[in-house]
Amino acid sequence: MNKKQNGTAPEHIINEFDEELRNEMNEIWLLAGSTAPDVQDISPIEVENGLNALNTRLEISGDYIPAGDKIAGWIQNYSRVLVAAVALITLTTFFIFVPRTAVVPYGEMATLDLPDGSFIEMNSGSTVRYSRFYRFINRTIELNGEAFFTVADHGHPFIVKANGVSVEVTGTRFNVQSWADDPAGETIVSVEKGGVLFYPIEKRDQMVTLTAGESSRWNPQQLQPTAPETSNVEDATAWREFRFVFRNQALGSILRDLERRFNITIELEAHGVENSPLTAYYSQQVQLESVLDDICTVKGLRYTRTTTGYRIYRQVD
Amino acid sequence: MNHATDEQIESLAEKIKRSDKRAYDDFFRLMYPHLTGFAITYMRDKSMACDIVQDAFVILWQKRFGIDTGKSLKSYMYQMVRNRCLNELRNRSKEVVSSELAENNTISEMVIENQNNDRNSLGSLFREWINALPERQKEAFELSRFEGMDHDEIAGLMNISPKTVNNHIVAAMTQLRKYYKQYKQKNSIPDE
Repeated sequence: MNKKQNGTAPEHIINEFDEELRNEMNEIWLLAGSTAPDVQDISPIEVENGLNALNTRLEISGDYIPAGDKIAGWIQNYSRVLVAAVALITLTTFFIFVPRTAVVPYGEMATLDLPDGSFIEMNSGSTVRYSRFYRFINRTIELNGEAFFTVADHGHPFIVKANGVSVEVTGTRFNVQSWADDPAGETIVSVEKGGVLFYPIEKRDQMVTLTAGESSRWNPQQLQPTAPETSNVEDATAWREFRFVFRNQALGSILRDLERRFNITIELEAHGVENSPLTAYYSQQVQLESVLDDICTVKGLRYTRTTTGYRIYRQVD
Repeated sequence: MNHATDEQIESLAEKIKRSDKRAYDDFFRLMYPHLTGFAITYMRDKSMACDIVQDAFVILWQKRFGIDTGKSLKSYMYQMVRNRCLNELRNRSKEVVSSELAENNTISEMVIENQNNDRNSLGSLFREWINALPERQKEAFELSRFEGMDHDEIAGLMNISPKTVNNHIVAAMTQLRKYYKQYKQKNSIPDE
């Protein structure tokens, strides 16, 4: 390869140097060429030897189809297809029974369209799971988190199962909030339109019937969900418009909402305020720091930035 | 880097992806001499370079279903070979560097001291000087000098901008000139 040994430096390199240096740099380029690795070109025989060695290795690793014998190759190909087909059928069988899962990352929201025309708006950090047979067998959705359901009326019941409790409906619009990490394990259902049945899973006889404008709560300590109470459903679904409505909500739970919405970590290093209730409204998209400002002002706390978010601590006078 | 047209390689890539062993063999025949030469630039040892290129081809076959036909398979192979060479060199240099450090010499001191040694030809001095360059400068310079690659090709391989490639090469040559000047002064060869 004579390019390695001879010649002056290419113009685009030599032109980088001042005029008076160019001769010297050409000399450097030339002298450096003498240090080129000593290669004779790889001969065609070496290439074939290399290929043979390679094919031996591929054969050992069991992933080799001989190219030579067409019929043998065909049979081998065919047996591979058979094996693949069996594997595919087995996999598919398993696959069908594995439910579909939709996860919304922190800091984002998502809408999930279901095959029957129903759809689910999901709040940050929520997970929804449903069978691949959805619509053929039943319409059952498992929820962890918060979501607003708009259910198409097909006559068949639509059931949301969330952390120990069920909501059963036909066509309607409603919100379910049910975080597995909620300290009280509480689930709240709020109905915007139509009606729902709300009951602990497997205890349908304990059902509470909710109609539009009503909400009910349940936690694992209760036999039955609370009696329907009139509530402002708009508050419960404020998250859909990126608003926040905290009504007598525990500080710890508020901070978890903020963590999910803004995809950050908030450490609370102040004892005794975790469960202290707070009421606040933010009517539009709000900056995280202005929420933190308000919280800290009201509770006499301070906050500081950390690498992953914020730390809230008690103000020391 | 070599003379096969991009379209040829693109069509080979698609066939390899569909497990066409013959296309894979053709691709090997096409690329093996170039890739081996390329690997020798790093390894300075032919049999080692051949091993590394073969390893890369084994991996290509194992991962053939994941071939991104939208990207250049040629660049992919060069990159894979480069990575494997650098890994190999790094593993090896851990031993070498630690023994060098033990002697508590800086590299440039060693380089200049060695110049007094008569058995060293100018060529082997240049070899030492090039070896003493910072890793990235050395790589950019050698690919340009020995592989005849242009700045864009080097930039793609090293995952840096062509401007940076240029800076590396200019810095490398400036440093080599410095060594060369010192050498000429010591041996009282007049500057022309």
